[in-house]
Amino acid sequence: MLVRIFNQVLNMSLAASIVAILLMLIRFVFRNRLPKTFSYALWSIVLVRLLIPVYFAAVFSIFNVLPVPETTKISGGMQNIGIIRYVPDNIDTESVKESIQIYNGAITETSHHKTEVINSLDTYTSGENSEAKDYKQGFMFIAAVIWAFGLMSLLASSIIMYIRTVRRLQTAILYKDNNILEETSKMLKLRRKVRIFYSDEINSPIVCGFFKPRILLPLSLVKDNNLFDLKHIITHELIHIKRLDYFFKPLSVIVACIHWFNPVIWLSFILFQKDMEMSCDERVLAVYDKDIRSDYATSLINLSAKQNSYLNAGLLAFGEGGIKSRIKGIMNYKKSGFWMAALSALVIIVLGVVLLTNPYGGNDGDRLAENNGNTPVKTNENKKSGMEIYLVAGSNQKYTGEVEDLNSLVLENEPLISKDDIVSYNWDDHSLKIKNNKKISNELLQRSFVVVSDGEKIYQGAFWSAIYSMIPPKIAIYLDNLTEENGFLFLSLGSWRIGGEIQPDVADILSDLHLKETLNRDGQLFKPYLPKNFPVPDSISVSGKEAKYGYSYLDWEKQDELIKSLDARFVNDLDYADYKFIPEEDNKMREEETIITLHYNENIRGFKYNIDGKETEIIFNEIMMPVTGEHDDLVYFRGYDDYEEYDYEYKHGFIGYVSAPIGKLEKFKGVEKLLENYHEEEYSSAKEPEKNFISCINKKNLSGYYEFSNEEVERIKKAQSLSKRMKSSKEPSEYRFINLYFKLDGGIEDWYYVCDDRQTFLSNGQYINNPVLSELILGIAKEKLGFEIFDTSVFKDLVKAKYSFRTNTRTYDSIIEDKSILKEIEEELQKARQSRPGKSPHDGVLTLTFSDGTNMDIRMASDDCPGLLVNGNYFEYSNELHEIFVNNFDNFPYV
Amino acid sequence: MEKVKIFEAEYRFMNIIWDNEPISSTDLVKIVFDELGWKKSTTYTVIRRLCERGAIKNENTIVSTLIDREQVMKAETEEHIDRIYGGSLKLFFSAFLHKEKLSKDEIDELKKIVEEYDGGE
Repeated sequence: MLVRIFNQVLNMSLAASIVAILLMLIRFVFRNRLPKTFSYALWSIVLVRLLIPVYFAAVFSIFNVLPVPETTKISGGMQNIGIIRYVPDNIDTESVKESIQIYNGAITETSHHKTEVINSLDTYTSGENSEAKDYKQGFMFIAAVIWAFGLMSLLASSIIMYIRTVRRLQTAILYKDNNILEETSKMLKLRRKVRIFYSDEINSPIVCGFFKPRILLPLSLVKDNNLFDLKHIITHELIHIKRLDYFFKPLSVIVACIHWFNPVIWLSFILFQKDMEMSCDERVLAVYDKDIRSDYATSLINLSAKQNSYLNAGLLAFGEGGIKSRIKGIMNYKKSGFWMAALSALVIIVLGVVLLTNPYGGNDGDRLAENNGNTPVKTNENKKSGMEIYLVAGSNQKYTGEVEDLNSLVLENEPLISKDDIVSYNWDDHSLKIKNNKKISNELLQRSFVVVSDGEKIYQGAFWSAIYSMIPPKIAIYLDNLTEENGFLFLSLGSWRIGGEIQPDVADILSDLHLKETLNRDGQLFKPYLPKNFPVPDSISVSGKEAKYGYSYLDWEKQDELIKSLDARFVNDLDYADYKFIPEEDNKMREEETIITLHYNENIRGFKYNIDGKETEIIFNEIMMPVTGEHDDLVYFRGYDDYEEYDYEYKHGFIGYVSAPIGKLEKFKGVEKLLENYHEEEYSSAKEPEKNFISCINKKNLSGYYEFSNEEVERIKKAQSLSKRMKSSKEPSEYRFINLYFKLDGGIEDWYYVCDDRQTFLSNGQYINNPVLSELILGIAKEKLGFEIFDTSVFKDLVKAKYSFRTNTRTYDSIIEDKSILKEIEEELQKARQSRPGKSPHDGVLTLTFSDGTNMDIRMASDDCPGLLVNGNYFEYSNELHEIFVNNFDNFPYV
Repeated sequence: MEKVKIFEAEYRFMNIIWDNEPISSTDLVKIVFDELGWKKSTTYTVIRRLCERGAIKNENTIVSTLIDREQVMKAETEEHIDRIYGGSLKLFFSAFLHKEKLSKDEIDELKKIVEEYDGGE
């Protein structure tokens, strides 16, 4: 971080030094011919350069003819704004990616010899080994620390001095003869109210304060009451105030503190102050109609004569600089005419534009490329210089996402993109600009390549399409061909899985992107599962408008924006919310959407919905498909991070609340109906009473409530008084809840969950022992709801197990009669644990036949949950049993 | 009669008290603000300082003087602000800032420059 900032400062410092030296030259050449106001204005360019790192690139920038190793783009989208870098930014960051070492030879030697900026730019060395790099990183760090220390001490002492001054000047006395003030203010057309004070603690006039600047005069000046002198001095100070110099001076001090290591900046700082004073003198002379030069000069000398030392250390206030040259400047002053002023203004604007822009690397690529060829970054006498991109040899070398040992990669003989093709290369994100010579085509998609710098392999990547980079990324490269003319190639780290919603009306911008193979999030190549008769599009098209962002920079907000602007939406793992089916009364989750129907059509597997009145059709593919879950009222769609898991889900996919193989999807007429059926059939319409009720899943209705009579409530409350709070004799996990709970009067703490030991309850986080209450409740539950605690030891002597699963149109049966398998099932069923029921759909039926000929029907969860319901008791069974079911029933648990 | 050393700013302040005493400190703050342009906190600081030196007293927020005008010895501030910045820092900065001390000769020389230019026109 620190090194980064230091780097930035260093780069600014160097760029500004060049500007400053140019200005000093101008200033020197025209020293007596130029108004000081002009040179004063010019310094503002240096000031801006020293403070702001980012500038627009322009063809007319001075840096087009001066050596600049690189400019760093700020973001993928804004091609023309950037930072000049003499010192690469990434030397302090860990190499971008595992073994991919980034080496940039442009580590500057200049950090301690700032004066030799320009020379040293030519003395870059390259080809150092990593040891040298480490050394340099260390060096940069130390330099950065020294810099920060210097900055802090300078700032601190400046601030301390300022505070001390202000404190001592508190007792300065208001100067009340304000005729002079009014007169001069009027003359200067200065509207703000300025107050004048005097003090015996200062020797020369100063302006003090940031928000309400005031003029402070030395006592001696006031005492002498030389009105001429006073008027001149007050005019001078008021001009400072009018020009906001009292703000720029401290600012320049801060800037000098930041760039303290740079003597050019110090020299600029001094000249800046001098020009500030002298231009101020010029203004004084200009505002008076008559020639007051000698009067004014005399005033200045009088003032100086009274001082035994010359105040200048009031760093953040005003001092007056260089008395002799000021006198000369004053006496030399000639009023400049309109044309001179106009010309000066024009020159300042031109210089401002030329000096405040960065080199341009767009259309002007050739020149810059050539220029780059001469820059030190690439200079190495023995090696071929410059950056080149080679394809990995072998036409089928597809990118696997694995980071390989760069040196072991065999490259093709000729570079795909030679140094002449490369306009600029950005080390931060490994993006580069190339000339649009059509060398990159869609055939290269997924091909591996290696970036070679000075003969050294520095970076491996693959050509990739923009659309793959929706999930931000580790490594992958996409080809951003969204606009015709820019021909940008982004090398970015990232990948995106296939899957997307296909808009029917899309344009063919990316029509050639094949989706048959792609990367998963981990950068691994996989082939998507392509089921028979299930149409997965060969290509995806994204509509209309140009993409505005480099995808790798997208945060979620931007993604949304992009998706909107592309008029397409993508499914990804983190964004289920977009694909929820939300009933109309509850669609606040995505307000702009009004989902009208969820409709399956015979041939197209998907559904339609309306966004803003525009009907959109979604086709399910293997990534995006509806699944059920805990949400009773939602159908939502799910993809998986892990493809294999997904694959399983696919084969056994189901829709709505009735499971079905997805291949049979066309047989379903409408999901709404399924949802309705499910509710009608599986859940009792009974509503939960507000208080004093018992609840369990009973045989008939799966879910049942019984509201206690008043007499029962009395009895329960009596029994309740016998409760003993358990002193954690047992671990809470040892209690097994049964599918039975009751609630008294109201309030959260009045929920009681019944445990299977017939004497323990959980209420309000506390375990309560009360066998009497337990007996009472279980009695009521049995009498009113038919609930009994089920004893799993009855699962023995099985001769047959049949699993049935029913959809709207047919029932699937599967039978196990193998003795040894039945034995295993028995054992696992006996170990099944009592539990409170989850929200799985329990629409599979397991029919067990015992040796005595009796049958028992058990409801099974038909999603992936290991849950079953026996006589209203809910059990969780083991993964082992789940495996047995899956392996021995056909298509368990779905078919 | 013992003399009390008073600096310029304090003398101005004392003048106001002599003219108005006894005066409540609140009123004093108002007058001092109008006359001298001081903030409330500055006025209180000076009151405290002068109390310590035995020039005035402040009892139950009523301020009155303890000395006459004749007892005052007006002192020059010995140390100007620009002398605060001593030590190494001063050296550091003064290397860059023109710290000039004008001798009589130099002043004469400057005056001569002005005259020359004047004569030249």
